[in-house]
Amino acid sequence: MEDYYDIDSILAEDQNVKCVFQKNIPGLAWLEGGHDDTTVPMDIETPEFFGPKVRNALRADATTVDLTKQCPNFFRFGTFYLQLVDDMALSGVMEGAFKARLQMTMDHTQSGGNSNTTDYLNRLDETERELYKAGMESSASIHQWNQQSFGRIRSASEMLLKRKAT
Amino acid sequence: MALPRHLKNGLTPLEIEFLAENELIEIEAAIDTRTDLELLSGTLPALKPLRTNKVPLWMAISLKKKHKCNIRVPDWMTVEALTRMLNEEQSVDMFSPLPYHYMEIAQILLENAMDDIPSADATRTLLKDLREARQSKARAGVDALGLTYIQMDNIGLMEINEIRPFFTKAFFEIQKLKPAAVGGINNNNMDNDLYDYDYGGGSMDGRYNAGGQGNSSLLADFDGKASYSSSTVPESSRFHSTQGSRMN
Repeated sequence: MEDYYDIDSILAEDQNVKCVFQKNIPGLAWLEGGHDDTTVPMDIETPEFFGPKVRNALRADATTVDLTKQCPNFFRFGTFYLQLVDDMALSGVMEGAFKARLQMTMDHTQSGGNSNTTDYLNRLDETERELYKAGMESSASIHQWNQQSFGRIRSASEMLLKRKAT
Repeated sequence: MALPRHLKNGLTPLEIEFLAENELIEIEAAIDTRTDLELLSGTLPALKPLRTNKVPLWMAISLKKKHKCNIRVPDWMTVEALTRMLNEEQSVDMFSPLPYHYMEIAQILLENAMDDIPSADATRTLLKDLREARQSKARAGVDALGLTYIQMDNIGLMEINEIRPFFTKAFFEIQKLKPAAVGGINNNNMDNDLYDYDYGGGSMDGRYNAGGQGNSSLLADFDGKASYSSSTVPESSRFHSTQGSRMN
C-alpha cells in the first residue's frame, strides 16, 4: 500500500480489525475482491478508536485526546482504513484533528522542550511524534548556531561521562 | 539515501552561513591591491584605500581580521532601519522585506566586526525582536497548511530551513488524510519532492512554497490526476463499514 519498506507503515498495517463474513468462505487465503461478484461478502466493523466517542472528543478539543491510548498509529492506520471504507465524516474529523494538534506540536518544538512537555508528548501518535522530533532537531540546530557552539573544539560527551565516573 | 536525519532535512545552519558569505558587502580598505582581483566567481575591481569597495563577505571578514579594512554596515542593519522594520513587522501580517540572508549576515558581522557597528547592542536586541516576531508569523503558517501550497514572501533562508522539516512532513501527512476524491499524492512523487528544493540563494527572493522547486509538478498532479484515487484498492472490492453490527 504505502512504501513497502517503511517500518512504520508495516506496524500500522498490523492493527487488528474486526470483520464479519456474510458467507462461508472455506479455506480462506487471500482477501482480494471477487472478480464477478461486485459485493464482497464481508463487513468491516468500525474500530472503537474511530467510533463516535473518540470522534466527538476530537471534534470538541483535539489537543487533549490521548491518541496513543486509542491507537499508536492513529493517523497512519486511519489513511489505510479510509482506503478500504468510504467514510467522509471520519476523514474530515481526522484532518481537522491533525491540523489542530499540529499547532500545538509546532509550539512545543519552538519552546525548546524545556516546558512541561512529557504530558503532551505522551498523547501524540507516532506520526506526530516523528514531526515533533523533526521540528525539535531543526530548532535545536539553529539555536546551537546562534550560540556559536559550532566550530569550537570541545571534549566529546562520552569523555565527560567517563571523567565523571572516575 | 543513508544520511543521518539532520542532514536529510536540507541544509545545516553552517552550510547556510557558508552560502551567505558570498553576499557582497561594502568595505573601506586600508590597502591598495593595485591589480584587479581574480576570483572564481568573477573579477573584483582593485581595492583602493579611502574608497568604498564591494567585496564578498568572506573576504571582508578575512581582511577585517587582518585589520586591513573597515566594514560598512549594510543599510538595513542600522538601528533606524531595524526599528522601522520591527514596527512594520508587528503591524503588518506579511513578512517585512529583509535580505534573504539577514540572519546569517547579521550574525557574522556582530561576531567579527563589532567595532564597525555603531550601537551593536541595540542592533543585537532589535534583531532578536525581529526574529521572534517573524517566528510567530511562521508559526501562524501552520494554520494555512493543507492547501496546495503556502506562500511566505521575504522569509529568510535560515528561517525557511528551520521550519522546513516540520512543514514538509506535516504537509504530506495532511495530503494523505485528505479524502480520496480530492486526489492524494502518490508516494513516489512525494519522495522526490521532499528533496527537490532550490537551495541556491540567487534566484529565490525568499519565497517558500511547500514543495519548493517541485511545486509546479505538485500542482499539476492535483489537476491532472484528480481522478486518481489515492486508494490502491479497486472500487469493486471496497468493504462496507458497519457500526457494531457484529452478529454472533
